[in-house]
Amino acid sequence: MTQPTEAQHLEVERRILDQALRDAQVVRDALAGGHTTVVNLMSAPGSGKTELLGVIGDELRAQGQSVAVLVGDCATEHDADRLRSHVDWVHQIVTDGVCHLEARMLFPFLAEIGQLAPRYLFVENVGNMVCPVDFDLGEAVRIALLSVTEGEDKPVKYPGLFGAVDLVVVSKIDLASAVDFSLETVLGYLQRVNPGVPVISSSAKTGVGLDAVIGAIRSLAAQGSSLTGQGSSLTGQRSSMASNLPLAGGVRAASVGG
Amino acid sequence: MHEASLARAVVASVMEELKARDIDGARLSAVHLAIGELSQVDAPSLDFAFGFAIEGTQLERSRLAMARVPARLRCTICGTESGFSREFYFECQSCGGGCTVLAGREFEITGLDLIDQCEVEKESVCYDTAY
Repeated sequence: MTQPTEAQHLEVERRILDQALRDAQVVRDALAGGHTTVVNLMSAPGSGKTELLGVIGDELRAQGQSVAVLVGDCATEHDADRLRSHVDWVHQIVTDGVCHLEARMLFPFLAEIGQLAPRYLFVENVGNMVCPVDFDLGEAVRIALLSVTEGEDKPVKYPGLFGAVDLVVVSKIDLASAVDFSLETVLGYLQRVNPGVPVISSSAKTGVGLDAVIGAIRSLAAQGSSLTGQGSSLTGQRSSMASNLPLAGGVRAASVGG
Repeated sequence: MHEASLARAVVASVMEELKARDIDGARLSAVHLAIGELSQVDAPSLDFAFGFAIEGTQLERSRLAMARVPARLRCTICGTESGFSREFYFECQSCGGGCTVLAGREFEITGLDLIDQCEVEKESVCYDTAY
């Protein structure tokens, strides 16, 4: 080992989150053999991620497709308990206060999930609209939820999240009239932060839009996300991918009608 | 929000860089970072978290020198280039198409300032005079 003999400045070119990207690749490699599609679900706390996963799990399993879920929360195993009867395998990641999941947190479960080789591994991120998006978990598809009770301007308040997803699911649409929710306003804001991103209105309670959500996930899984591996948020790259998604236009149009 | 994680990642990346250059015992006075306008990294929070992340490491008492990189966007439809605005976000200001990001997502180490060996030996003086 050599030591510099005088004070000096070294020019460097090193991306800081390279290690996180390598960790994400470990997840991809571990699950590639089982043809498992990893879906990263991100949104505010209480927007309905767990409820949506429950009904999606029921439907996919009814169609003969196996579903695994890793769910992240700062504390408690409540969500894993809720999902247990709806999916084939579920495990809670308790982060003890950490505000997001990182790929390395998935490592302890990869062997077991790899053996199970589910068709889908949904990762329900910690409820948080800021931090999770910066950490690639090895997912093929990124989804953001926006519940009607949160307010229409969330996309422009949190462009880092809504600008970096392949699909936006507007949840709890059955409550829309109670809170004077305007889907048109949301679509206008989304057009600015993520032009062309597919948007689906849904209700886990009434079942509205669930087939479209599953169809969109299936399409995106077949296509692969254009943004994975970029390791950062606020990218406009998805727009070209989204506009190629066959059902984007139809879903968008259909969703306007609610 | 997650700057503590990012600060740890900075320290790990610096260690990797020093190892790659075969100077893994080197002490540092400064780490230079390029932080893109769109990277969601808050410089004051990162600076604060860095102070804790370097405790007990050879980066202890080094400082962050952060440079902000402005965003550049290019429309995928008409090719118009622009900066980033909170009015248009990623929508093209000319035609309404979607934009790709040419610059502004950076979160990179661009330079390291090393402390020379003799200064390390009298480091209380060295740190006061180096900057």
